[in-house]
Amino acid sequence: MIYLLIGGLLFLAIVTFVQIIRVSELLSKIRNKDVNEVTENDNNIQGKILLVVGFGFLVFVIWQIVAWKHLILPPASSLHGVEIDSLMNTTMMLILVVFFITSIILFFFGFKYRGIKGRKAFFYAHNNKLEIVWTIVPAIVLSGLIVSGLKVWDSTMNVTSENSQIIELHSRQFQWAARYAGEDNILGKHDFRLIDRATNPLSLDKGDKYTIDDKITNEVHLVVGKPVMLKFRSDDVIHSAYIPHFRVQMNCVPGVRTQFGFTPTKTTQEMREDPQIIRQMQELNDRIDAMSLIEKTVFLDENFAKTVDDLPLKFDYQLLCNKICGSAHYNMKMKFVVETQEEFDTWIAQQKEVGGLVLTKK
Amino acid sequence: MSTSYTLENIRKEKATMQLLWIGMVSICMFFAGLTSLVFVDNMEIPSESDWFLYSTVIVLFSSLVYLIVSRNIKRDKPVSFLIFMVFILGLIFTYCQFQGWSDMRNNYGIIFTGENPETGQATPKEHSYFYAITVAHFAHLIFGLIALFITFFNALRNKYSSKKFLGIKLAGTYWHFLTILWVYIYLFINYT
Amino acid sequence: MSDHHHKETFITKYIFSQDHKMIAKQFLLTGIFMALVGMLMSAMFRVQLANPGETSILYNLMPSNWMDPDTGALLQDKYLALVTMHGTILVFWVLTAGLSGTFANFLIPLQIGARDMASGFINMLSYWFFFAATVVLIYSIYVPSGPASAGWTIYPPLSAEASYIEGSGLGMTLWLVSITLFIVGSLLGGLNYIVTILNLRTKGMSMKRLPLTIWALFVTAILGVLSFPVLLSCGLLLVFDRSFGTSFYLSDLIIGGEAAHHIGGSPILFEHLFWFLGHPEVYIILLPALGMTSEVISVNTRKPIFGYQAMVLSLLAIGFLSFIVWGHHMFMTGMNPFLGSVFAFTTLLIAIPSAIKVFNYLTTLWRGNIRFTPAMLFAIAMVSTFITGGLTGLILGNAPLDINVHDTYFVVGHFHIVMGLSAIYGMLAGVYHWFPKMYGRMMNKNLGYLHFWGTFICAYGVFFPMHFLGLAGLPRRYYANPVDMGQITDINDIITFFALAGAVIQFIFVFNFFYSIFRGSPASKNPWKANTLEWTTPVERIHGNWPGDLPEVHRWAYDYSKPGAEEDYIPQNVPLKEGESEH
Repeated sequence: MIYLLIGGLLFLAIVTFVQIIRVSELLSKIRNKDVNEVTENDNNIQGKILLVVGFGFLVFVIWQIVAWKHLILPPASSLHGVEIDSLMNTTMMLILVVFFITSIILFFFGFKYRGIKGRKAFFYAHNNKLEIVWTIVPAIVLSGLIVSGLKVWDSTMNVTSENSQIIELHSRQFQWAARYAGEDNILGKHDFRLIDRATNPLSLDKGDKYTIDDKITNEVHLVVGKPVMLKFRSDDVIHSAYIPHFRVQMNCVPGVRTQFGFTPTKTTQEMREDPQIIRQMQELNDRIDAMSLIEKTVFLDENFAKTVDDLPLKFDYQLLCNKICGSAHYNMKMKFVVETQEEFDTWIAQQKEVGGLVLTKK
Repeated sequence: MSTSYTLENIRKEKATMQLLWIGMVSICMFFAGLTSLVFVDNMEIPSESDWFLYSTVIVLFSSLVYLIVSRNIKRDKPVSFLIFMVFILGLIFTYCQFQGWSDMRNNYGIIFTGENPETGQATPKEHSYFYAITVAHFAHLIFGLIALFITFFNALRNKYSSKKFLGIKLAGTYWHFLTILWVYIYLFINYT
Repeated sequence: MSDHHHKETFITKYIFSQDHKMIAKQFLLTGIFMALVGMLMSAMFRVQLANPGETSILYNLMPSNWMDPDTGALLQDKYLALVTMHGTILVFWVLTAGLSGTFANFLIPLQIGARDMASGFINMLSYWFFFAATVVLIYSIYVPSGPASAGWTIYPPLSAEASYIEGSGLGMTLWLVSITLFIVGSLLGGLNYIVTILNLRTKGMSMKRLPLTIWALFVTAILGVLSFPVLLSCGLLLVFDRSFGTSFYLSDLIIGGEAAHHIGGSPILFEHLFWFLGHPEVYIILLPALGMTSEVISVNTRKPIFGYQAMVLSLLAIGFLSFIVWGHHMFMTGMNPFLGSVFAFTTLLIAIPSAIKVFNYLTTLWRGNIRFTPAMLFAIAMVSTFITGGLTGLILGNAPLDINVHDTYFVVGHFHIVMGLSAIYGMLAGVYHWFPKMYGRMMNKNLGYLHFWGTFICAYGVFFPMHFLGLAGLPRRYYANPVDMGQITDINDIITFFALAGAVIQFIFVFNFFYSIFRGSPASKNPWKANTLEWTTPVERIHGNWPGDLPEVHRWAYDYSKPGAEEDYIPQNVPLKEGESEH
């Protein structure tokens, strides 16, 4: 279908411009005039098109905001995320206002002052007062943005790990693994030279006493309202841990330790009851419903490692890789679950300790 | 020949000198990029071999000789031998550099890359860095030597006079630049 | 004068020419060719994004091993190869060399009243280094393991080790060779531009009378000369790491299940060095477009550009600030939060000179007598995209807001609009405006209009919706959408539709360009009734630009519709009348 479309467009385009050139050349011969001179008539037509297309673009922008508003991320599910969201909303409002005002002026001026033969433009070379005004006004507005931005930045990034549950996120091409620090809440040491894909994929130092109670999992469970400190590690290339619903992102750099601390505020269950999420999932499930059974099976298997029995799909927090890391970059993700303390305790108790896997506890 | 033509010539000469100057600014940025690494990372660069002290002295001396060249040409005194001397000093500098590198490798075990045969450890980047920056300087020096040789050749053929000595000015400016650059690198690897 | 009349053979005239005008055309043609290559690549990955895992006839343009043998779908790592080459080609080949290479070469001597560049020979070398770089880059597409695929930012370790991605083998080596040739070419060009502007201005052409185009190209050249060598040193160390096993950027790596020997290096170092070039590079791309837009807008509104001095100062301010903001590309690398604050602060400062420029453009339009040439339309579109894309920079530059949109489609939308579209529009405005001077013929006006409206509509149709993808949390450089966002498919289809339509429309331009070179209606000496010196040269191309003495300059370039003058323009070489004030 798309090829037909392309072919059609191509054909139409070629026909159009050959015709236009021919006609204009003939006309110019008849009138004995240069066809490429811009006339008053051109100014008139192009000025009007500018107004129509310009405002058409602004309408297109408004249409997008209305039509796609429900697709963007729902309000943040973390403490610091709420601050980010509020600054984001302020900035966005400001941007939209400036965008609409300046764009309207631009397109309108283009239309209003379209050239007329014999009219002389207004010689207006400079006006220091005006220029000072539009240096100072943006400066003041920007200082406001910077100051509030730096406040949020400071409180987001300078989180200490005291009182936080410590979890290490380990990344490699193309999978994530999590390591819980265990009861002592201290991660055991690791050294990349201890790597053994079969027995020690996370290159842990098994002689370290802190390692023994660490737990390696392939999904992350968090307790709602309890601060958590994620520590990042990479085995090969730079990955980036991106959890959009929490407003969390940090690169995982081989040889460099990075971290991000935050507090989740909404359980997965609560998110599933959020009207915006319900609408998003509804649209996704509708799309899957429209597929044939084979398509469905392939789609679910490839993307979710699920079967048709799991339909309809439910919302889950996802950790995505957000730094180009190789061929399966787009498919490198891990499930996050936020739950109550009791649910978490049940789940963590089922996970095996590193010591239990390889070493015996003293 | 009209006056405007000479004027245009003078402007062209000035422009050519400026080309060189801006080119040298560019080279400075290249080395600034390399040295910034050390400050970002707090590296300690090795600089054990004495040969680099000798080469520093020689390159400084060569620059002094070139100052005499510049003075002589303005008074129409002979310069070709002095330029040749600078060229030879440049070659001696080259010799010292090579001696220095082999000294570092053989006597101090500081190599560019690979594993240390005794400890099996990979080369620390400080060691690689030492070679990277000194060899980068040497790569620029090759062009300096070529320039000196061409200048010497032209001086032999009496191409220069007190009125017309752009070639000598260009080669000299670049040579002094290389000297300063080396002194900077020498101090840099010794005091970081 | 003698050396301006020596006999030219075909080779010295068209191939190894030292005439700045011919070199400019060589840059332009190479630039247009590379732009088409880059555009076709974007068409290919847009098709993949709209129909993931399906085949397309477009993929046949690439070597056959880029497709899955069974399904004919684009392979995952070749998708990344396309993205990487698209970025490299557009950023360096089209918008750096194609844009400033063309117009700096063409306009600097003509607008300042010089016979040629300070050194025609270095100028020629500059093009041929660029040409060699082009050949190597194109060749790298056809090596069996594929071209560089680690993104145009080539972050190690991905770019350092072929087992991480296939393209990091021979393809990456060729990329580095090519970019080194490219840098040498750019530096040689940049040296020449600076020296020419400083020394070869004709009598009366003080810096205060320079057209804004030349000011912009001047600042651009300075940025290039200061920042490209840093990329060279950055690349050099990467070559050592890749080929000789040093550890500048590498540490703690596991390759093929075994621990590698690298220790102590840091990829963050690479990012610092890279973005120290990378950010000025953005302005190397943007400033010439801003300069040409100023010129085109002033000529076609028949008004002086508003606030000439403020325009120059804002160019200088943007140029200076561009050197101290590179860290905003690295907010998420785990660097010291304090450093992040500093970079957020300096980044948002750039908004001030940018705002001045926008308001000055708008005021220039006010009470003008606008002549809508295709060039003027592109200039207006450039102001529009500069506004649209610039504003979202306030979000990306503010560190805490960047956390959630960093490396998402929001960024893709932002920089394609503010840097990609603005620069392309500036470039197209320049081509339409100066074509009569370049080839002595006019480009077809109506095809120009058609090309403009098609481009304007499609480009916004492609890049504006990307903001919504980003706000929905979709990362960039994804081969297919992560499924939780399945409902986003609609937006992707719209983008791909506009991208393909926009790509087809560009062939109108290509057709018009080549048709007009040979068949266009003959141009008069000064078809736009403009003031700058290039329009005082004869229509035929001559080596040395002016047949007699060089013109003398008596006024600035923007005396349009000056009260008391008979015509609505006064060329720069017309002496001031008695009692006439300069501005």
